[in-house]
Amino acid sequence: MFLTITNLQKYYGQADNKQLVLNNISATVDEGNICVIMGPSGSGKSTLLHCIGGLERFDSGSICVDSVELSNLSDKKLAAYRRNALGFVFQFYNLIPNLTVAENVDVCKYLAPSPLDRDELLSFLVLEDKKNCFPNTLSGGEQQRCAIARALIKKPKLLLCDEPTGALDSKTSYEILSLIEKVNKEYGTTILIVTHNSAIKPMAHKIITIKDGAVSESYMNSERISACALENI
Amino acid sequence: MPRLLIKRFFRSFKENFARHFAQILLVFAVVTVIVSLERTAFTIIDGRQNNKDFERIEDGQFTTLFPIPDDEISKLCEEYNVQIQENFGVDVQSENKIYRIFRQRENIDVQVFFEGTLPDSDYQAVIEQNYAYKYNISCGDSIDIGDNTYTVCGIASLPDYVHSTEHMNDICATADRFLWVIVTDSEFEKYYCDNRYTPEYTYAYRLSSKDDLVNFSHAVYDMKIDDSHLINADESLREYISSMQNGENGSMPNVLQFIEREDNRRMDIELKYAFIYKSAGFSVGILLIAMLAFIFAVVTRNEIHNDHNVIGSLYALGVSKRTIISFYIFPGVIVSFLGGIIGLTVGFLPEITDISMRAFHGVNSFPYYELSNPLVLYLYSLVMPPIVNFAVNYIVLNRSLSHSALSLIRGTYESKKVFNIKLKTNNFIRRFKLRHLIEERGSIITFVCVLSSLIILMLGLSTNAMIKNNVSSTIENTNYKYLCTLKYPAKDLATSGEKIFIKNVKSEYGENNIIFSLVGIPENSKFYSAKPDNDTDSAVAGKALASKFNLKKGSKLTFCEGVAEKEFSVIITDIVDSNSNMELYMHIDCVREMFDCSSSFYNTVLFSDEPDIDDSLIYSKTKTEDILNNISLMKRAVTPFMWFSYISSILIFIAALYLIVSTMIDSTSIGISLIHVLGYDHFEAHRMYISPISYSVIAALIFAIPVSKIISSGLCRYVFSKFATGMFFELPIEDYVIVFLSALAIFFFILLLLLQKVKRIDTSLALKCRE
Repeated sequence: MFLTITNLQKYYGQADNKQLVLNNISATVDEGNICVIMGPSGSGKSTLLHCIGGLERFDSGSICVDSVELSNLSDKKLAAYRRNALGFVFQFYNLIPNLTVAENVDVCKYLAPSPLDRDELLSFLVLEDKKNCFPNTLSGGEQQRCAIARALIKKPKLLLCDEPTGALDSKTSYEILSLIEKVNKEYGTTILIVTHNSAIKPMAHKIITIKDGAVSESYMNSERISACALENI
Repeated sequence: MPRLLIKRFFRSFKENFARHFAQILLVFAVVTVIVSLERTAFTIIDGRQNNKDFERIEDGQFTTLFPIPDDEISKLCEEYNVQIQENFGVDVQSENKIYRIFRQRENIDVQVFFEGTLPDSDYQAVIEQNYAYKYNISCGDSIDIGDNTYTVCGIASLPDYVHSTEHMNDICATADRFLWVIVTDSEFEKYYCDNRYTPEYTYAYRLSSKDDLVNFSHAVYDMKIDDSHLINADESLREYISSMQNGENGSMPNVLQFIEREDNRRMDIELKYAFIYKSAGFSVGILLIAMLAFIFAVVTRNEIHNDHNVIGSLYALGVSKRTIISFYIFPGVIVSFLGGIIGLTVGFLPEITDISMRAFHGVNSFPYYELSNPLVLYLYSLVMPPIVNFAVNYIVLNRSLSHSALSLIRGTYESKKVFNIKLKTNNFIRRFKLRHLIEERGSIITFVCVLSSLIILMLGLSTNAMIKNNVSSTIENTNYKYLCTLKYPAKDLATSGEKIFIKNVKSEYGENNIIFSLVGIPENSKFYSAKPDNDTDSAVAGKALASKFNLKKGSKLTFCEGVAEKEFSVIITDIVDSNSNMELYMHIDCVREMFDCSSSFYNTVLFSDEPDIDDSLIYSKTKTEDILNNISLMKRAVTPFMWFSYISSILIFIAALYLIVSTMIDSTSIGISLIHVLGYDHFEAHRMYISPISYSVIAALIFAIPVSKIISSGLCRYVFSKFATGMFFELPIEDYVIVFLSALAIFFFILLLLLQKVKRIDTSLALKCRE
């Protein structure tokens, strides 16, 4: 298994005001799979993603990513883990406004010892014509593609997407999802997508549903269909 | 990554041109001023060092009543391994000007020429450079001294007349009415032997070892009075000599004054100021650059607050804090570097250095040394601003960037402490304004910026106040019309004037000695309000002296005279109004007793009308106007400094306030936008968010004005520590009001400009940030 989560527990608050947000979560994801984590707002899905991404600590249980146990890692090692193993895509693209598309991607290029070829990646993400444009001149979909390029340039083993289509219209959303799928196929990247949009479900290899901080449903999607076909459903 | 940083800087520069331009301008202004001042200081210090073998400056000098016989001089030279040179001067008064005639110097205090050479004939003369500059005289022009006309063959300076004053205790050089002139030996002899003039018998000495000083001074003091070498003694002098030889005038020695080089107010003044400028300039420069860096950092911190989600995302992607911090520090560092380069280039322009050099030359007479190009100034201009900027930015920004990726993405990183103060008002807008004012961090930064610029302004105003106050105290408290110093106190001088005994004494002031006048006055003096006891242990201090030495009733003041080891200590029994001269009043009999003079000895006579004594008895005649003239000359000397302080403080105030207010408006933009979403109009939004900014500036001004005054007065005390004048820095209340209103006017003008920015804030900003 590429990702193994065992009995994960996470509380917010302290002492009397403690609130259990992740309640004994266990799950696995195979290498090269797309896994969609679903659930209503406040269910704990983003918190789970942040724990997997090493952005948040958890109280008990374990998360093992590609044989690396996160609970034992210091802050410094967690930063190195994020640097070497992860790519993040956020709902709001969070690009540096006064750097061009190519330069925004370059910001992360320096982090990897053998990064992808930037121009090839931009071409793959259909951004080659926009590489000298600044973020404020791009559409939402283009900005999100740029954010994906930035996350992918360092060849992450695991791509974490937090509501990647949350700020996009449905047409652009499907474009982005197709692209994520393309990335999965082309680079074999394991992808975790957190969303409350159930329309994404059919493109995933695995679906995990979280409700009130606990896994309510987890299954492999045997009838998986391509993301580009989603739009026509 | 460096390539990216450079690209980002250029774009950021273009986007925020006004801001970065203001930053460059500020660094440039500071570096230019500091570089030109420091280069001037280095030029003087290096120039003096390089010239020392040529100028052969004295270790000290002594003045006697009568010339010392040559064999006595040789004996002194041999016994104490000392070099002595006669620097005799003869004062000739002509057309309200005093010409001090010297013969050329060969071994000690050698003249340095600006142009020309020593005189070849008796019709030629070398004159002092400041006088030549003031009256636009060059070689070939002629000057009239008494009945004689001379062709100027050279313009020069003398190391013992750097501060070219008629009397050693004059506060300011008096190039308007006093100059020294060097003529041929034969021409000098004519003046020296002329009965109309009384030469001043001054000897310059150079010691082989400082250890010989005390013994040498004792030997000079112990020399017997001998009038056999007097060439032009008039009747009064003969009478005085005879009375002294008969012991009628007590044990008054032949030596009128014996001083070391460091106590000579005519010497090294430019060097002393160069050292002050060197050390103070460097520190002030670093402080100003650090202050600017702090302002830049605050602006950048606001930028970081705006970019928090981008920074959080980059952290999440594994970008290190070091990389992010360099993104934000780099522009400030580059801006400082650019400001430093331009500042260095402009500061090194000869025309600019000449302005500060001229300020030194305007009041001091010393050679035009070759301009120094010290490496330290290159480092100071090019390395210091970026390093200070980096350090200050790092300290300020490090905290803003030391948050977790998630908290930055969510915008929950700012755990601002909320002051839960119960406000009595029920009016929502008023409550909101008060809360906003209390919570506004910018208020503290505004205070720091306002305070810094006001300190610089107050330095200029305090200097101006010191001069004004000295003028008024002189006008109010100089009750005599003439103060006549006698050449030789006659035994029974029939005069209507008040006979007093003035002695120059010195007291330690920090690392320096300050010379002041010990005035022995009779009981019920007509001209002084002081009523000293007839007691050698107590004295009354004039206000000027008290302000300089921080004296109060009951304070103890210790002073000494010349190089004598004997010290005197007195308790101050009273402090009285005085003119700008620093004076300590004692009963005349006590002063006579302290200096072993006869019970009838005096050396000065004061007159409320024209003096009724023969001019031939008077060594110098000081009018009240002379004292005022001295003060006005001092004003001229410090005018460049005052203008520097006014202009630089206003520039810093404008630029700093622009940056800070702009940042404060930026930081409230989302709030303003949200208020619009909630249905408040522009006017209400303005009242809620902009009024607190105005209040914080007003509050900063109210607190900063008195604090800056206290700090600047302390700094002025240091800057003018070498001036023997009253330290009255009090400003009239109107000046405070003018400063407050002017600062407020500048602020409202800046606010008016920045309100355009506020008007552009609409609801879209809040809606964009709804997440």
